[in-house]
Amino acid sequence: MRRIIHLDMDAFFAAIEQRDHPEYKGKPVIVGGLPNTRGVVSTCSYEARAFGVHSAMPLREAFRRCPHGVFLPGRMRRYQEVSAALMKILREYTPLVEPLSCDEAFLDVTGSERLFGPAEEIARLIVTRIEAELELTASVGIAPNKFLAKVASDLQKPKGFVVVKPGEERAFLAPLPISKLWGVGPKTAANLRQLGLQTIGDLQKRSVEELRRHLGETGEQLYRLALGIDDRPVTPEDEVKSIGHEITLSTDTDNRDFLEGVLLSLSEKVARRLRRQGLIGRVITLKIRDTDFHTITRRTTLSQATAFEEVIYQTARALAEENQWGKKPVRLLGVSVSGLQKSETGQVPLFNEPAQQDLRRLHQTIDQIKDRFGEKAITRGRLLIKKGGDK
Amino acid sequence: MKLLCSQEELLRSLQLAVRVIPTKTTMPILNGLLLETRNDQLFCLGSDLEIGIEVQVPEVTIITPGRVVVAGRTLYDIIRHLPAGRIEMGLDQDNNTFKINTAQTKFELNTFPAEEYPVLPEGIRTIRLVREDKTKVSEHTLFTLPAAAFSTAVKQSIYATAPNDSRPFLSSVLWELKEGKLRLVATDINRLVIKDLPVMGEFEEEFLVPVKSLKEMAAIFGDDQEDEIHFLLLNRQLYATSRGVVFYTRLINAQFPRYEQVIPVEFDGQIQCDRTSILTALTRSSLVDSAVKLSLSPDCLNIYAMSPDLGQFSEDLNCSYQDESFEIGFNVFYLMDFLKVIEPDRQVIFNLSKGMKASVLKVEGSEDYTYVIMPLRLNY
Repeated sequence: MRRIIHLDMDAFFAAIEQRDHPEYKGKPVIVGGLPNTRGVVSTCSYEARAFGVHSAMPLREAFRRCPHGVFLPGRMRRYQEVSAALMKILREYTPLVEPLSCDEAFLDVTGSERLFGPAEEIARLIVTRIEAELELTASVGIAPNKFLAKVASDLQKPKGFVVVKPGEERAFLAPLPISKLWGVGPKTAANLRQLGLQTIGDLQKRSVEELRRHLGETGEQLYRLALGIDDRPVTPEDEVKSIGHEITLSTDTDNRDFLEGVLLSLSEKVARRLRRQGLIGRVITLKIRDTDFHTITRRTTLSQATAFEEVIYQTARALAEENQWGKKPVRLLGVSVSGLQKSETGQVPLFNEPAQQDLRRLHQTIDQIKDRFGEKAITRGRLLIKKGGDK
Repeated sequence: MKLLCSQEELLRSLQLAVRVIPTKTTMPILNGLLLETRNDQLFCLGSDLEIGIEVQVPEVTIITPGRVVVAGRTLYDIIRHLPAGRIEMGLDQDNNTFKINTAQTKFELNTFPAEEYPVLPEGIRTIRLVREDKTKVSEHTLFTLPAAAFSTAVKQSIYATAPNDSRPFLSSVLWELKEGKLRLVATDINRLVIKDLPVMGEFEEEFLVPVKSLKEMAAIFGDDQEDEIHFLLLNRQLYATSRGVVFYTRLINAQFPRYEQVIPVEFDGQIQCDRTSILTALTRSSLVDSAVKLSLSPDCLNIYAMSPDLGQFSEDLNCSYQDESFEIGFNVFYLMDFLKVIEPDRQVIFNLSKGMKASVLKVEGSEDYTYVIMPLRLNY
């Protein structure tokens, strides 16, 4: 029998803001952007949730519901620092930590119980340390598998602590709505409701053959989940697979010049992160979403791995042009680099092109300036003009 | 225009001509082939503006001369599906359709206006003049090569290029002509090939030929032991002609790096081994990973590959090495590329360097083929 913990931080970004800015404590904090911008809520504090604000809600709507809220653009680097500290605590109790995002993770503590006591005790220990060391709160679910642990952690947020004991899986799931099942979105939920299924308990009473007839392969999977069966292992985080950035534009536009500016600035961010982590990558992926929410992603493989925005930008722009970007107004642009390797391993080139060496030196210098004086200390003329609005 | 021809001969000619028709073009007329009669001969021309071809169709009887542009791939497909034997073709002046008739079948194709077909490059006309008066050949010809030798040279150089790279020196091959020798130089930035061919001629020239054109050239002229290819350079276009075929390509205007500088002259160790034994060993190694480690020690070459996901591979080969032991990493496919295009029974020489320096591979007993290759940094 495995002992799996799912740990999920409570209103992570908002809680960090409230901790770093005591004046926000007790106030509805909404992280995602300024109230009249076009983004969506990324996290909001429990005070804000009382007003009906939730994550993924458009910021305008959040503002309508909660006009006196504290709207913040978010400080990703700060959140990542805290996330790293959090993961470090988790890894002290088991090497089998699988982060799902920056504020949630699965832990397989089956083998750790002999060292630290039962899973319940380990979870208590972790939650206490998070409160003491990070001044943040978390909810946990403890169960024999990942699915149950995740459902459990979500049940009594914030500061939830729910244990599903072996043998109690079916009873635990029975009263819950079918939408709690993994892989049940609005569409499948509607399908299931048509079959007269409201709760997971309803599903448990049907036969697997019947579900397979109506839903095919998915039906069988849902049936297993409904009985609380899930043998997916907890797989520790792999090395970074890709580094990317994307942005939703403040207005949809087909202005090529402007879009190129945005692409360049995204490429610059990606390149800077690559260099900071000592990585180079060969696969460049471009993502474009148009005004009708039609999304395309296109990728290309370079003959030589890179960490330079010049190369990333040129490649991404060539992909964009091949796909006639701007034919319809563009809503979102994204650039990412994958096929990563450490910059000090791999193929050595025969020709050191002067242009490449110049680029390397240029970026070394610019990176040093930014490290010392901040990201805005030095920037491209092209990007300055863009921020100024009209040319 | 009206003529009689043989299905087999026409098909063979069209097969060559359709190769240059672009797959995507903003100029629809380039999807056409130009059929033109001249001096009682039929010529078939195609181009994508970068490369082009003129093929003389053998065994044709011209009844009335003329010029017409018809959809190239369609024409080729039609001829391909006609029975062997005689075909009668002609332009119907009244409704501008092109008729293709055999005893039982009749095709009537729409045509493009022939006067809108792009003007043929100057060189095609020069070559026609040369052809008509054989004595002038030497005046314009850069050099002549046996088709088989040319085909081998292309095969031995083209793999070390990066045809889709935006940097011109990686997507083309340098042709250096001097002292009775044609030298092809190709690189994809990680490795470099130098291939020398003896040629007749006094010219000194240097130019870059796009990889794609070179591939076409090798395919069009094949490796017929009998054939000779004449090369001409006219107005920054390279022409290659053999029998009734003229192929031309634009050249790339760019600087090729000073490649002589990257060829090392001193090495840390030399091994000689049988081409086929080492190729088969490296092929086995490539099943595990694209990185390979060569470890040299007295009388032994060890080939090792390791992949965290798959497992590992190791093989010992006998070799005549006597110096101190050292290791070097390579992309195994880079080594295989070189070995694959060498005759099976030859011996190969690896001149290896320690550290992050280039190594040089050659065929034993021959100085006309040099492969310069950079190592792979390995962390095992």
